[in-house]
Amino acid sequence: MIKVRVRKAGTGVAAASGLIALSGAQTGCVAEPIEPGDEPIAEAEDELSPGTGTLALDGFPGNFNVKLVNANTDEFLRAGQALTIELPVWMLWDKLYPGSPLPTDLARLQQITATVTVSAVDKATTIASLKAPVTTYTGMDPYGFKAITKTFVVPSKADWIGFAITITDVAPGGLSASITAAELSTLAVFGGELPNKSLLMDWAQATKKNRIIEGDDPIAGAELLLAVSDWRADVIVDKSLIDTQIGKAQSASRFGWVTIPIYGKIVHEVAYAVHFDDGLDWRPEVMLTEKPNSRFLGSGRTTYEGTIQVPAKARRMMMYTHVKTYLVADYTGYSNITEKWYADGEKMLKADKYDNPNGAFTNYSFSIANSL
Amino acid sequence: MLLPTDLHGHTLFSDGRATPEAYVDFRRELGMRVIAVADHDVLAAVPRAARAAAGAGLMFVPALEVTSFLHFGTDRAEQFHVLAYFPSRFSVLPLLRQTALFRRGERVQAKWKAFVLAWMEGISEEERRAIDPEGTFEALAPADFPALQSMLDRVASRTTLFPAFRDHHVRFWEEDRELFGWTPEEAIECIRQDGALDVVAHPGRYRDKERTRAVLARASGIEVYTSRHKAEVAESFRAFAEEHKKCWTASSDDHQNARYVRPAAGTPVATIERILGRALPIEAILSA
Repeated sequence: MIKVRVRKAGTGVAAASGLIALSGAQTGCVAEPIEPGDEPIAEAEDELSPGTGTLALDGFPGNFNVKLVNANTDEFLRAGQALTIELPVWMLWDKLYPGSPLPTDLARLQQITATVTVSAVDKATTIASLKAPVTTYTGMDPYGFKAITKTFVVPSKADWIGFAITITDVAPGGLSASITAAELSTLAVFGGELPNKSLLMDWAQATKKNRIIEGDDPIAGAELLLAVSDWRADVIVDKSLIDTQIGKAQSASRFGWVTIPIYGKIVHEVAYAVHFDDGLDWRPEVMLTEKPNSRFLGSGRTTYEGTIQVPAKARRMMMYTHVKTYLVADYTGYSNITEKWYADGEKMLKADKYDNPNGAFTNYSFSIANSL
Repeated sequence: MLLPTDLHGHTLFSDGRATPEAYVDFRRELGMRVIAVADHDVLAAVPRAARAAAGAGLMFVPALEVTSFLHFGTDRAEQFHVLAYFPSRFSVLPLLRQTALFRRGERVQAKWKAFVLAWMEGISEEERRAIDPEGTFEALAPADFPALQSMLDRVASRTTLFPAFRDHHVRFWEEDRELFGWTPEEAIECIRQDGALDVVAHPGRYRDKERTRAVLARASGIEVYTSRHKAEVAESFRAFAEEHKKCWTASSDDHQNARYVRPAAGTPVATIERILGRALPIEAILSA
């Protein structure tokens, strides 16, 4: 485990959360050299504040999931975070007694109890299995009535946590049922691989968001996993302005046969280039790897990822990303095609843009912690 | 102030082709701020679309397009659609289930399944197998049974029965007085009883203009901008709405059956606030 000293600098907001690094803003942390014999003031993990949070069973019968609904940090789970799980009792009831009306008597609903088994996984190996039984109930109306589990702490080396729920009706003759781990999605955990960290470049609410998920700055001599989100790439090239039509087809509608436009697929290629203050020049652009069902953003979202080796002597990192967007003429999945505007599988470059913080030739800048 | 919206479009839960997730994602790319799925008579897509919209940072309005009729059962019969917009908290199943319109939607799905299976009994075994190769239709829950567009695609792509099915399917609405034989005024009343806002869908489309005017006078809102209205028609309905202090909306009525037509304007903040039953946070308005 690496020992680091990190001195907070910049604005209170950034330093307090350690999670926000807006483009170009000087809000990061500044590394202090460690003098010989000078003991580190903290371990890297101690610099992070995993915080507390609440998970909730969500969704609907046949499509359950567990999601983070409340936290004193942000939307990511971290090793060391203390969590409780809310279980809407109407969902538990529905699982036990599908289709039967929900009792309106809250005392009756309190007889529905559950235990959540939380499995922590590190590099595909289960490293811990925690039991979180229901200990309290909250809510005043049947559909808002929730069972709350005992608090558990996310194990320190976890990459993922998964869930399984055993539901029991303790009333005489009551049934039991399970929501298996296979029915519930797993949640990514960050901070279990320190000093390696992750930089997520995302886009939300018309704002670029660059964040070191584990908090504070990248660490010298460690790895930094760079992840650029699909929506960030979409916005950089303004995907909405790209005409994706690749032909026409006949299709059945309630009004008869109609001619419909058919659309190709948009594919991004995302690369990055990086420069450190280590005496070397800018490194050549490196292509990022497309990762569907992103660990950062969840099922259905894509990130483009690559690993940056942060030099041991670096104090500052400058970088930009480069997005090329192609339209691929994929006609599979369409029938009754009447017009093909392109050859099957043809790939056309539609946009070629750089992601800079303040226009051309400006770069995102990050200070590096624990530099030699 | 107008917000970029699309408050009327369809998914594969009625006669659209998009999944709820794809529907939401497409509108996110376009920079919409407030969206709704408004499938015909069912709220089935709402939980999935709401989840996708939450992930995309979009304000989501649970909605459906209620089928009613002018002159039901006569040779002048024509469908008349009224949109129902619920406050956002109805995105979750427990609250949706408590609405009369959700329960009606479940009956519509059950009857649709029965209607299709009855039609399939009259076709050859070979055609039946082509439409339902796994033989699973009978066992499917009504909510999982292929909705209209999915059935049209199956029938058209696998058999020669498309014209017959297309002609037949109209009877689903025209012959069920219990589910669809209500007047627009009755639909509006039901929508209001459920705590939702009633908005007349594409009012320029109906043949009986006199009855349409009467319904508009009673309705809370009017769909002004829609792919079904030419620009001058939309402007006349906007003028009518503003003169009569009605809410009005801007939507696409997208079925994914034609090129997407982006609404020519946004929806007034006042309409969204009326649906939500509360004032919008100023940050949301400014960021839009």
